[in-house]
Amino acid sequence: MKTLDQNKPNGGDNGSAAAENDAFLNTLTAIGEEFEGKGGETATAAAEDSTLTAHKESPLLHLPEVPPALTATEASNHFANLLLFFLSGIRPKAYQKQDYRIDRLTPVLLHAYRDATAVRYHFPLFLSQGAEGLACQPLKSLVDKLAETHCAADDEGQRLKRILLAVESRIKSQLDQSNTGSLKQQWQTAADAVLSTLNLTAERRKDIAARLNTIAETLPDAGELYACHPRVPLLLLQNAQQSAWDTHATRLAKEMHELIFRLEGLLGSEAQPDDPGRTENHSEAALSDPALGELDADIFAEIVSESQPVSLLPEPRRERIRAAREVIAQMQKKYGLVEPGSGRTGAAENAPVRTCREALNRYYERRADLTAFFKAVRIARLEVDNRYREDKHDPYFAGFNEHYLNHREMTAFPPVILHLQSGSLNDADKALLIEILASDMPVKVLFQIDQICESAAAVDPSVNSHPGRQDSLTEPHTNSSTALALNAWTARLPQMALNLQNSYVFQGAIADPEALLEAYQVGLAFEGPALFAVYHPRHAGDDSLAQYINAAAALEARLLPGFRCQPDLGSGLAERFSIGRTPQNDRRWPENELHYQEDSTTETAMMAFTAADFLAQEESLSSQFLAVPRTDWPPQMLPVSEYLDLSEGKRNEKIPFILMAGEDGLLWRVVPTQDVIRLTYQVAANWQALQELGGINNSHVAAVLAAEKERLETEKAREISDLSEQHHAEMAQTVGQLTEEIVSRIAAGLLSEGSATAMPAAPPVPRPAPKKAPAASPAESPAPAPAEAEVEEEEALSFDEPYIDTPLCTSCNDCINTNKAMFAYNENKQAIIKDINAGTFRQLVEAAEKCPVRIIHPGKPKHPDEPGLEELIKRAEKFN
Amino acid sequence: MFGIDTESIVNFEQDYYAMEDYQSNIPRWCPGCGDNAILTSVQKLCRDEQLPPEKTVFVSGIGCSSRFPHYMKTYGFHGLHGRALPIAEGVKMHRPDLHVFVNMGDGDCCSIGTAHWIHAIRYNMNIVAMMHDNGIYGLTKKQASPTSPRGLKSNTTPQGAFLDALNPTLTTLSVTNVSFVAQVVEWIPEVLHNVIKAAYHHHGFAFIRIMQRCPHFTPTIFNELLQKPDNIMMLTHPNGLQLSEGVGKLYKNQQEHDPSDMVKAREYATLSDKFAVGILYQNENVPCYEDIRRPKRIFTPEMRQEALEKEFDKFSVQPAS
Ligand SMILES: Cc1ncc(C[n+]2csc(CCOP(=O)(O)OP(=O)(O)O)c2C)c(N)n1
Ligand code: SF4
Ligand code: SF4
Ligand SMILES: [Mg+2]
Repeated sequence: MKTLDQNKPNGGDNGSAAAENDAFLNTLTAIGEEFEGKGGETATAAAEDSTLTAHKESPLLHLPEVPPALTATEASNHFANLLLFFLSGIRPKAYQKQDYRIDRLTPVLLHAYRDATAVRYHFPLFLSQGAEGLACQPLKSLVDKLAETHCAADDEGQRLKRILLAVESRIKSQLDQSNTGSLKQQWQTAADAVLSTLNLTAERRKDIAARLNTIAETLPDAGELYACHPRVPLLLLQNAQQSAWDTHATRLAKEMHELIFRLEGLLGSEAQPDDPGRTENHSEAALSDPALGELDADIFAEIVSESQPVSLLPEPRRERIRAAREVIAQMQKKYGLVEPGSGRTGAAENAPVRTCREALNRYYERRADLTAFFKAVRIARLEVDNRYREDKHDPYFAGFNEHYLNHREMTAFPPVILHLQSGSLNDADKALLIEILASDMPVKVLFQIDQICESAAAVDPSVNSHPGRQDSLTEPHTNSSTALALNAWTARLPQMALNLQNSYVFQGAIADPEALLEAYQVGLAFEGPALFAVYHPRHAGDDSLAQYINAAAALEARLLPGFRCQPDLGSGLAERFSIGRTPQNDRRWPENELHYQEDSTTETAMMAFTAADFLAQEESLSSQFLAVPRTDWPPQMLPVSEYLDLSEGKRNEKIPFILMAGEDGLLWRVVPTQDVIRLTYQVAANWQALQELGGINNSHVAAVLAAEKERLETEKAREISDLSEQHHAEMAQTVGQLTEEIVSRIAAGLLSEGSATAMPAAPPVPRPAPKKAPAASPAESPAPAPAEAEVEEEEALSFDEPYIDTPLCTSCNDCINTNKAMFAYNENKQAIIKDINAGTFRQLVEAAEKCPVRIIHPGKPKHPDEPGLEELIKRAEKFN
Repeated sequence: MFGIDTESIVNFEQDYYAMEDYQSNIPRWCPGCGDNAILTSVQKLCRDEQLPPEKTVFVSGIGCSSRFPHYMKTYGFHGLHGRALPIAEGVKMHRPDLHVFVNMGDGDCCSIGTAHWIHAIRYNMNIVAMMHDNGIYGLTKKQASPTSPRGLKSNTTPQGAFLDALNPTLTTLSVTNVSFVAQVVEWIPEVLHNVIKAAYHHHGFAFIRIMQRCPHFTPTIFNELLQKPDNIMMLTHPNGLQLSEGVGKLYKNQQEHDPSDMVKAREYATLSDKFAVGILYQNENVPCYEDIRRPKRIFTPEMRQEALEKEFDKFSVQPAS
């Protein structure tokens, strides 16, 4: 990585002057899309569009001019000054000026996103109830889809596209005021506004208005837009909850409606003779309902007035039915178990509670309701089926309690939603929260984090820890040596919940709303408790983009890495746990390209985005940073990400820095205090632990891998040496043999030529004995395998196998009735031979004879000793 | 526990029906009776089309064949002799959302039920009507029916039937508003199934005459067709019946016939030496009675049921356990 050295001469790169920083952090990539420039278009078009391209690009990032080289004294003075600041946070005299504060600087990777109007990001978010349930998508994807379908590639089409983008941008600023709004309405207002600012002839205006109208008509009718604001995490959760509950409640409502209807049918026998329904007037009124079609009211009234109602229900039974009906009706009302459109209420039961105590109370109440409800439902079902037996069921229902409920019944009513703000938790809540998360209660906790770390000054003892009582969890805040720390609860609660093993846990930030919605949907459906820890910055300023960027940056810098754990996916971590939503999750810090200018040439460097970079843009922490001009950069400065890798001893000789940029694009090195660095270490360690859980860079695995690699290598080496040894031995043997053979041949040749020359007598060649079959001992001798046997086998495989032309079977049952084990039906209820050995050849032939469509082919008998075979084979012939 | 379903809430809707889901009692037809083949074919149709059993109704008259609804695990109405069709029409009129099938015998349809048959064709309601033609009154043990071949000896015609058989196919073809007429034999399962399927997909009154073997009383009347496949003339057409390779090889006598051609249809219905199998006539454009007569405001069956039952409930008496 380039370190942007103080005295570094220019790099050789002479790239284009356009130094933009578009390849930022993954979650922010979308932001880089900017409105297109005008290109080579006609003057009118340009005039028309003048309002559409108001955005100016952020100034190019650039280094200050190269200053004169530092003398040794200067360098050591600067080093001493910066070290003082690093260690103590005390600003040296030379840097007291406003210029050296970082309030007006941005971490360099965020520089490109200064202009809110130009940036397209995940918000406004469009949330709608579609056919497949609740779904969300950024407004920008919606607009992109519209542009794709409605805007041709020609100039006119592209102009229309820019108008759409302007409408989008307009909606964004509208939402900055209102935070939410219906898509249709917002669109209409924005489109009108954009149209009125365009410099158009009347005719063109009409034309474009018409086109915009056509496009507006294709927009979904229902659905809300949300800007990025602190209510979004809860709103999304409530929407997800409502959507899930609606589907469930509708189904439940239908069942209850039917049940009550039938219960009333049972009770209806109590009708009195003077029941108004018996009068002619009443019948007429009832039957005038056109739904009844063409029944004659007079005749109907005549018939019913003649019937004599008798009450046949014994009193206790009637009481029981009434009581059950009462309970069911009461719960129907309380939980809004009515069909959609008939005024579903029950919203109160879905509303979130704010304290753990309330959540528990509500849960207990709900459990009691469920018990009463399902007791009534079970009684009712028995009654309508006429199966209630007092001797058996009375004692059963007398002892009925929540343990009698099965899982599906337990989750029949909506789960309790608990909304907690990280900053306002008291001790009682903390204890109960752990209890809830360790239980199996369907309580869904939205733990909204608005601040991840705090400086000592920011700790409000009245809220975060009890005065006079040392809370071990919050100890780091009160530890005098550490002025700045991760908010222990905030940072560790989700990980603690992870260790409890039985709750659904999600951690993420508002910057990834799709992941959030999905997590809500899965977590709500999960049978036990769920914890959704969602970061939504409190101090990031109030515009939507600033909040979004801060949240995205927290994800990137691993201050609040995205992860989820879903216990019902399996028992192993690999199945339940994932850090998939954290950008570049295989690295310690995400790295991105940075383009900047030095002496009018473009340089490119890879920049890591560390926790220190994130902290630098937190307003409340600005005193922890010192901006240093290029003239004062001592050679000991090192980027934070490299500084972290140094061994303890080496660190004393260095000063870490991060890069920040002013509005004008000028780059500054910014030195953090050692508190910031300590926190950065902590974040990195935390992240590494999560990575290991997620199976990335797992240290155990790495150790095993290393050991295994070594083992394999030694093994390989041994194998190689074994092989080469063997090879050598074989070579030696072959060479030996060949030599012997050659020698003996020569010797033989010489002898045959009758030469009397005395030659050393060649030793007799030990010829390898020809491989002979081992002498066949009687016991071992293989059974004679004469050729006939093979032939027979082959024949048996041909047409002598019995079979049925199954597709032609008319399902007449005849063969099946002959032998149920031998014949059976397939999934189309057509006969097949199920087990040929389950019956005799005689049965097979008989079935073939019976089969009305003659599709059973008996083949040849399997067992040669069946009696009467000769005759049977003859009878079978005509079916084969 | 105590006969209580522990899974007492939330009926998860069944997502797939298998053949077994449409099978109820074991049929009590004679061994080898062709009604079995028709039953299997219909059950297969229900499965292939995934007809919800609670939205499917089989209506029949009286006869062996009319035992059909008992063997289907759907709704059923075992009616009066000859009256299957008016009952089915009533069902369809008030519950157009149901799939309505009719099974009747040749005696049922062409003898005592003739008037209803003619008018059902004219009303053209969206129903599949299967006429199981075994040429005999089976249930009452062998009396000649209108479709018995001349000369058939039966309990009512001990010297052999005097008259030529009625041709139900031709009769159907000549009634006003006829919209679907097919003729099949029950012993070629594939063809039977394809024709029943086409009838099911037809919008209107689909009449299928199914030649059905009665091994008990008329064991020989189809011998000419059973033993000589060439006597069966397969009417094929891209809009009509299409044969698989296997069946095509067995039944080589094939003729292309466009089911929209009424003149040809009548010709094929009256072949003397051969027997035409396939869809003879189909016209999707004939209006259905229930479509014409449907009230302007649509009421769901549930709305109707609710209104009616609310009234009836006031007067009904439920027996105690
Ligand atoms: C009104 C009336 N008349 C006569 C009968 C007696 N009966 C019962 S079934 C039947 C004929 C059945 O023949 P078919 O319709 O061909 O049915 P199959 O048994 O052949 O399937 C008759 C006449 C009756 N049940 N009701
Ligand atoms: S006897 Fe023939 S037609 Fe009947 S079930 Fe068996 S194979 Fe099928
Ligand atoms: S009598 Fe004939 S039609 Fe009736 S069940 Fe027996 S075989 Fe079938
Ligand atoms: Mg009959």
